[in-house]
Amino acid sequence: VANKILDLFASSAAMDITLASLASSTTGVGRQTALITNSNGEQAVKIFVMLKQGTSPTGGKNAFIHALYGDGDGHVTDGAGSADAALTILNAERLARPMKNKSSPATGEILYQECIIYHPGPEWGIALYQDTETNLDATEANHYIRYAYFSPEIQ
Amino acid sequence: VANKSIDIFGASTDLPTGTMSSDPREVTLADNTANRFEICRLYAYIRASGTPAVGDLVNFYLIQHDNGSPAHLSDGASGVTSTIVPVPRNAVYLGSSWVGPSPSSTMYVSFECLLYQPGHKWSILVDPDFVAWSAHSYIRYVGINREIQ
Repeated sequence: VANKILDLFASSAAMDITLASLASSTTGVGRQTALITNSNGEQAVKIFVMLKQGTSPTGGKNAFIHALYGDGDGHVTDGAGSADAALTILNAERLARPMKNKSSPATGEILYQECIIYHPGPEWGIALYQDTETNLDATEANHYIRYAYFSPEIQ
Repeated sequence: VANKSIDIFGASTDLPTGTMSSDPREVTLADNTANRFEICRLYAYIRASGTPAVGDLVNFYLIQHDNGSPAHLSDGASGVTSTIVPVPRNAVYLGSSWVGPSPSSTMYVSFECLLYQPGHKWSILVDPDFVAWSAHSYIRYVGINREIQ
């Protein structure tokens, strides 16, 4: 009997990260989420990001989304910790093309990005920085990083 | 009945690097003949002995072994921890990490990647631009097998 394989989608969940007023940086100074323990062995995770730009951002700039990987035995990319915290991103894998803004963006314009991690391993997280030359919007509820696992399911 | 496929993780396993330097170095083979991991996630942490220069790279390559006799090993590697200087290098390039601004004597570079179907036996060739400090560096992996629930 042939058995079809479908993607089994888990619910979208918010990641623990403080993005309000995140300062602009051209040297990777940004923020990390709390690490997620992949205790169910999920095989892929899709990431959904929304950021609200701050006051008078410079055009043609970006936010950058990176992956953090932990081996469950103390190793985490770029020496990241396990909690929501500031992080200088150096060698963390960039997950998507840059999250680009307009050439002449207005205050408060929203940026969206999505990307995927295959086989994230025992622990994983997201790190992000932005170089729009102004802080992100100051209201935390105006930003998020969410994730939704999906793993194959044999029918 | 629908059955979900999940990842089962092996323990994080060290690939001994031996005494590192600025020379390209292969680490001892991971023997995958028993575990038969379909996927491995690699985790590396390389620290310099002294202060590296901005822009210095650490390059990572995959050494593959066919378990034959005589064995095929990428770039004629030995399969045990040692210096390896093949030129030109034809092992599969995995990627690089770099030394960022304002390096210090305590800084390090991290590197992670996925290896799909690494095969019977495999290893890593690490090639730092700086003199690596063995006692504060490591290369590890977590093996992954999928399991139908």
